[in-house]
Amino acid sequence: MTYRLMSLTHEKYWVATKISIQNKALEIIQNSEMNTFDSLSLGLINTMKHLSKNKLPSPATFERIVYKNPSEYHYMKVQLEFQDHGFRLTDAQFKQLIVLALRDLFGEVGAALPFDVLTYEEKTLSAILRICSSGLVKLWSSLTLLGSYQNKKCAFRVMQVSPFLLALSGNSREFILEE
Amino acid sequence: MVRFKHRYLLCELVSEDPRCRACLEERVLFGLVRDAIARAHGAFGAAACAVAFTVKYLNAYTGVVLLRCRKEFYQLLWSALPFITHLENKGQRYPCFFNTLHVGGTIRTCQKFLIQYNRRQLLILLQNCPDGEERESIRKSVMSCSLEEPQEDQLSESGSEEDATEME
Repeated sequence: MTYRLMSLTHEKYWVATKISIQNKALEIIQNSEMNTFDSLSLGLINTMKHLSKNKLPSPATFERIVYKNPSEYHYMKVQLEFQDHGFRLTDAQFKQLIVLALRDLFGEVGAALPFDVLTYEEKTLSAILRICSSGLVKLWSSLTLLGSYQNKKCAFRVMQVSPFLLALSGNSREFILEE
Repeated sequence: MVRFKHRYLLCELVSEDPRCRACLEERVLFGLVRDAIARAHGAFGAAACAVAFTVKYLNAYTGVVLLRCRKEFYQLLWSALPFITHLENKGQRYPCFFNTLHVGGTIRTCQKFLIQYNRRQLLILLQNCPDGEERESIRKSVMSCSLEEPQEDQLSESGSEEDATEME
């Protein structure tokens, strides 16, 4: 009897129903006073939902965070060259020089840009600078346009720029191949 | 499409000294603002803002100034305005500051805002004004809202004096 009733409903529902809910459906049909086609199918759907709720787990929620640029800082390896090669600077003077360059081009706001001199070698006047990614363009352009320090001509040579500090440890231009 | 878009900054020059506003001139203001931008934003800022920078409107009685600059760099100009602390003219130095009232894309929107702002200021002045002839005259002009020159001069002068007393 139940199969016949089920076949009366839409084919889709008949395919989905299982034999195990047969008794439950019988109960509903006997207890309810519905006689119409739609109400029958509704009743069956409701039973199916109720029974399937306990079996299926709730859908898993997850969060995906995407970074366009995974690194917040950029690292620059620079070398300062003076016209007379004997000139030396301390690390504080070196930082002051860069701040001066920033102030020339970008004013007080630019001079307040927070950057760090991570390493400094006095003999070669080379250093590794760290700057937050939004300020890279400002720093690089002000280093490019620095022409003189205390009336001595100088220039900044930028060797490497990378968002990762590890990349600055090796430079393929300075490889010495053993022969 | 192909137009150059500008931003118009409506500012008010606020100072204790009433003479400061009287010696406000376009050239003086031009140089002052350009120096302030050069100090705050360096060579880059000075050049970027100076491309289309003009003083469009200046009112010496109320100290209202309308500045224009390119849309891409109006923030450089806006951020440099608080660093203007003194107005120098003919060897006289007056402490003052710029209060930005409105930023608009066209002169017309700034004018609309200025008209509304002036109306509100008149009402405030009326409240603060002590009883007497001045009050009567201000009340009459507020009610009539007409632009007759002698009345306007009286009103704006009394207005500027009121501003000065308020500052003190």
